[in-house]
Amino acid sequence: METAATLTIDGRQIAAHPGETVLQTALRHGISIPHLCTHPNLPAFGACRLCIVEIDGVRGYPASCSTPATEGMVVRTDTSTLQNLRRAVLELILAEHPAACLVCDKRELCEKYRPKPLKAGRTIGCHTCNNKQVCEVRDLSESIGLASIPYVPFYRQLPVERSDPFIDRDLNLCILCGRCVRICEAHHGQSTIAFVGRGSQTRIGEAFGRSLTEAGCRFCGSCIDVCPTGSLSDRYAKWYGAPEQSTATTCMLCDAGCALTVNTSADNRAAMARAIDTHVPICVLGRFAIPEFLNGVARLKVPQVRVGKALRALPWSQALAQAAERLKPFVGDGFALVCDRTCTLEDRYVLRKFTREVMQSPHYLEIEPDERGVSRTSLPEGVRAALLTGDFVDPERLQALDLLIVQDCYPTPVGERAAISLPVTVLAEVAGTWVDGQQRLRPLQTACGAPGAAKPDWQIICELARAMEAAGFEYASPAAIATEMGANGASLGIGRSQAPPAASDPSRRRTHFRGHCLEEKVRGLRDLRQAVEEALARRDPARRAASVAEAVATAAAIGG
Amino acid sequence: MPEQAPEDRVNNFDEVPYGYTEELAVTEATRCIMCKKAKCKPACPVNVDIPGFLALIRERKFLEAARKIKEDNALPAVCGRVCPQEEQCEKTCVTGIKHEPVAIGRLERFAADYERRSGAVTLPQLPAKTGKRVAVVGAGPAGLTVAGDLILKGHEITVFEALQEPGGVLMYGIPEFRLPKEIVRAEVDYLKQLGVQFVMDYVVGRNSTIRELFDEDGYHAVFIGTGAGLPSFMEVPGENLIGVYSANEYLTRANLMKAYLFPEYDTPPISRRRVAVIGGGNVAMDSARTALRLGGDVTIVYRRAREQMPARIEEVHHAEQEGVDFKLLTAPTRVIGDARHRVVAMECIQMVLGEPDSSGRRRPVPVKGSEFIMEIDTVIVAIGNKPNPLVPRTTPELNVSKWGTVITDPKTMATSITGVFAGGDIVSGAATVILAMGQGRIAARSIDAYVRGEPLPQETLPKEK
Amino acid sequence: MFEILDKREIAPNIHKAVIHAPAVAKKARPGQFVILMVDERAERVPFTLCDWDRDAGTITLVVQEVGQSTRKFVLLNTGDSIAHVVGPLGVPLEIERFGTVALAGGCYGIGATLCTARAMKAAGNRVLTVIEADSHYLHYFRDELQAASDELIQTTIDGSEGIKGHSVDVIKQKLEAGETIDRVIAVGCVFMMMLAGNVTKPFGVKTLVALNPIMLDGTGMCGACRVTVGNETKFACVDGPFFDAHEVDWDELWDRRAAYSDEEIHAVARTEIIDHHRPAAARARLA
Repeated sequence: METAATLTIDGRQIAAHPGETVLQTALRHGISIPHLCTHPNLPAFGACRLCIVEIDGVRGYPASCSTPATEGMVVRTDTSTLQNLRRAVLELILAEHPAACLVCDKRELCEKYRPKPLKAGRTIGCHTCNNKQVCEVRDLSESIGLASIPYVPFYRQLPVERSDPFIDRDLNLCILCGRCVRICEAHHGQSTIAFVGRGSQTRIGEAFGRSLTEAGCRFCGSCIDVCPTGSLSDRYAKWYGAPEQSTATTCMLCDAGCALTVNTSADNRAAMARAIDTHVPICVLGRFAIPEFLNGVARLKVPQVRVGKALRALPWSQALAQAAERLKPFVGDGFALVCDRTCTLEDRYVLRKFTREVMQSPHYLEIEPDERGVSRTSLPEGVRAALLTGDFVDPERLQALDLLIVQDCYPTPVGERAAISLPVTVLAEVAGTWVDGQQRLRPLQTACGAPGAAKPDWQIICELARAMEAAGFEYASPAAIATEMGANGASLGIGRSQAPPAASDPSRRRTHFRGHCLEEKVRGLRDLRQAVEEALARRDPARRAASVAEAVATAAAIGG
Repeated sequence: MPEQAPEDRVNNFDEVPYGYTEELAVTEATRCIMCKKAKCKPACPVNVDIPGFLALIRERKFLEAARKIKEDNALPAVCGRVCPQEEQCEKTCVTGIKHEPVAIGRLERFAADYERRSGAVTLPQLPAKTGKRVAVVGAGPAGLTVAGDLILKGHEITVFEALQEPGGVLMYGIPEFRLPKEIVRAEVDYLKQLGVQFVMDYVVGRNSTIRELFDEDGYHAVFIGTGAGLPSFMEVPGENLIGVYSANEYLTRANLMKAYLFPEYDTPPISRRRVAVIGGGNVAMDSARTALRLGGDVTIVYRRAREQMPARIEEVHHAEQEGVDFKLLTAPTRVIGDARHRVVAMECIQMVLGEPDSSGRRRPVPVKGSEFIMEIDTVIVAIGNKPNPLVPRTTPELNVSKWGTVITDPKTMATSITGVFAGGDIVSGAATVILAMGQGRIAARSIDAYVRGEPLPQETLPKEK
Repeated sequence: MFEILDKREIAPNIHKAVIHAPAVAKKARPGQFVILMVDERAERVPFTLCDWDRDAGTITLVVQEVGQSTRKFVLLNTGDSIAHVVGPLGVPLEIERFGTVALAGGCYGIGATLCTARAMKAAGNRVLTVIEADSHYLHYFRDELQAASDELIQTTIDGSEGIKGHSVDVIKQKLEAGETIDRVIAVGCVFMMMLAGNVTKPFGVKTLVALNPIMLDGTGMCGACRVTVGNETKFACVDGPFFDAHEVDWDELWDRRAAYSDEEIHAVARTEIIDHHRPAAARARLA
């Protein structure tokens, strides 16, 4: 068993935890040693040579990231020799990385006028780099005090790779720190990407020149999250820059309940979602699907009531008044309410309360989505009026209804038949409590704004109930509902020991959310499926026919 | 006339009036009492034989009715939709003295639409080619009329247009819900079928001067129909803040660049929440109603009173129905922005009507101390357009008034340069489509005579048939 | 349709295109620009004319990919066609014998300097051309500009080629050393042009800069390109694009150019993946 050690760093007596490296001990005590290739989730690598220190009795300048802290060690982290060496190392690193902005004498003035980068097709400096506002290399060059680059910079002119779904890769910015390779291996066992080539030709790539998709990438996005430069970027989010706001919430796209941080842009839209707990990966849905799903241009934004053939926009009060009026004759078991478990606990509580108490009907149907996320059910016999929170019921059965009210986030065939269509907020737009597949309570926080006039499910139902003059629906917030339910004590899903199955196994990935086919709303998912099929067909022409048939079947299943 | 209900139409860019059914058309046409000396005909700037086509509609001869209109009016589907009939033919209608005037404009629209939908658009027999070449500068209503008239005389016609599509104000200015672009394209296609050549992306004044059209390109006559596209601004502080648009820019984005179909089309729409439109003409109504459809709360700010608004009555009426707010006798004094130069508010002042000015209208006078703030994020300035300066600037011998309009002889539309004629907004200042067409008609007649070496006809229309 | 006769990336993100546009080539003069619509649904976007061949009927543009519209352009290849090219627009530069003319160009502005250098030299001026780039690999047109100028000075921000620093630093040093410069013409990003004006103002040297506000029609009918110069509103497309740097309201120009930055980012975020390796398959998939 390793015991804790006491060592001296820059004249200070420091206690190290068992197994800690010098760098970890120093950082934990607020002693800053410049570092680049190291990462808290990864074992030491020693590639960048920036974290070098002087240790009494040790020859040369060892890397503190890979030097265990031992009893009695005397370490110096900031001598002038070290400073010069580190600067030299950084200059070498930057000889192959567009670094002109870092040594520009007008940098401060330029950034006063242009704090955000230009969304250029190729990064040739900080001014055109998607990483500008959050870049570790920039921070490092400031703290080290980079003044010039004594070498003639070399720009490799590698093509900017924008052919894979979700991830853009510009290897001209890569400093070969290896974090991406290491985290892929740590998260998935075997890394999809590796150091390809040798010596000065080394670069990150996939074996045999494959694309990421062909190489079996799961698109968990961890490589992007650890990349210190703009080399790897999230295509959707890359130009939003430093987030206006970051909110911790829970992903609802399957029942793993992964904790996410959702970043929003200046106009309060979701820009990017990332795992809070970076020890295990999340899946492509949690990482990449949420902002695009939420920001689709076809999102329902206004309440609508059908007059004649067309749906007409109306203010909430009028739409709900009409809904209330038209529901009244159906109080009793001629009414059914259908929702699924993508609604929060609070939503479902009031949906059920509304069905039982206001509509006095036993027909509250709460669907558990299947393992693909598809929610389908059938309405009981004798139901003549229904309120659905999604595309859950066969259209033919709906034709027999006298009244159909839908509250949803996107238009659907069901919504197209509804007498009243109400726009809802979903995913990162909602607050409340949710239960994951292991029956743990998970919290949801509102991370971004609602599109148009959309409202949360629980709020719509409460207002509808009040329009029907029902008492007991005056909740001011989801917390008030949770209190009534006794559902407090939700905790973020951090410290999971296991990644969600979909993070490593695409066949476990859900295809639907709340009745919506995710591929239709998130283009990258469709591109991903097609790219995978093409890759498979290419590898094995005999498989081509089978994969085409499978694709057709999948498409039919998804299309419903 | 059956119309889309206001609550429906604010969500789409479809036309408001559905158009007459055949029954409605026949019924309405039958209301015409066939005056012996029809007053409506001379009131029409192009002298359409109104009683003639109404009679044909009555007899259910709809195609013949369309052709009858086309004898004088090259663009009936357009005019039926955008002419201010209440100031022209319908104003003089005798039936209108005691009852509603005969709905001449709607019937014209009906006949033209019928012909287009039936696919039975016939090409008239063209005379032998004269070998004379005419250059038409500008593919707006004036230019299209000149092209349409002169091609029928056997001349070779080329229309030059700076924008990427022909139509001019018909394309970029008048919104889809007042004039579907499909109709404009159909009218242009008709001209192409007759043999008119269209050259897009060509700026006369830059790519060729007028002189070069004669000397280098061999044209025998030139018609200038470049329009009044130069927007006027209010000249108040804050006018260059982000969020202040000329109506031209706003409408061009929406109509020509189809921003309302974003992201299918790349130009993003300017969809803001609280919009103020300054002005009281058709352009102001078009801008306001477009802004509504793009999701805004819209207020029209006009410095005079309602009766003085130059807009077509039907447009004002539609705007009100759709929920546009009207602040009359109000004028902006300055636009207020935030630290990033974006509009956050506008200060306005109340007005009262004082003594008449030189145009005969009572002049609005500001009421001291009546300033108030409107919280808005968009200002659309629709207070008028001035003539496009490019051709006058690059054609020194062209006589131009102090307002920038090209000076012409009203009987012939001839300019100060022999062989060069002009018509439309470039001559009259910003006016209407039908007036542009009327001037185009006169110019075409003159050009025809000129290229034949005949003297230019001096009598004004109508000519007796 | 306007055919692209040649298109290549001559420096990172610097794309040179030779386009068949005889009506434009016939009348092009230094200082003017064209408006392009890549396809029928694209935006109308302005580009400075770098060069032209009146006999061949071709124009040369230098384009950087900086957003959705330029991305569409950059993805075209030799042999593809552009839907609409209109020009030459704008007021041409005054070309006269001024004496010594200093031309400063940065990024895409280096390309724009070419035709002006040639014209100024032909008019009997001593032409000093100063071009700046972040690093040596971003310089282009060296030989062409060397031939077109009396003196060509290159600067790089990182000092990897020529003088370390900005083109305006070179001009400032020359003015401080007492050299006579009668006119300065600067084309580049707003920052660079603003600096050019700041540097020459104390010396009273007339400095013209090519303002680049957002444009819509480019022929003076919409006012989208309004700029304030000398406290007056001007339309950059018909009164400019070159204006006196000492009179420009730079703050307003900065902010007006950012008017649609949110929409621009949303548009680029929604762009389909770009399959460089199998473009035909990608296009078929996206159709």
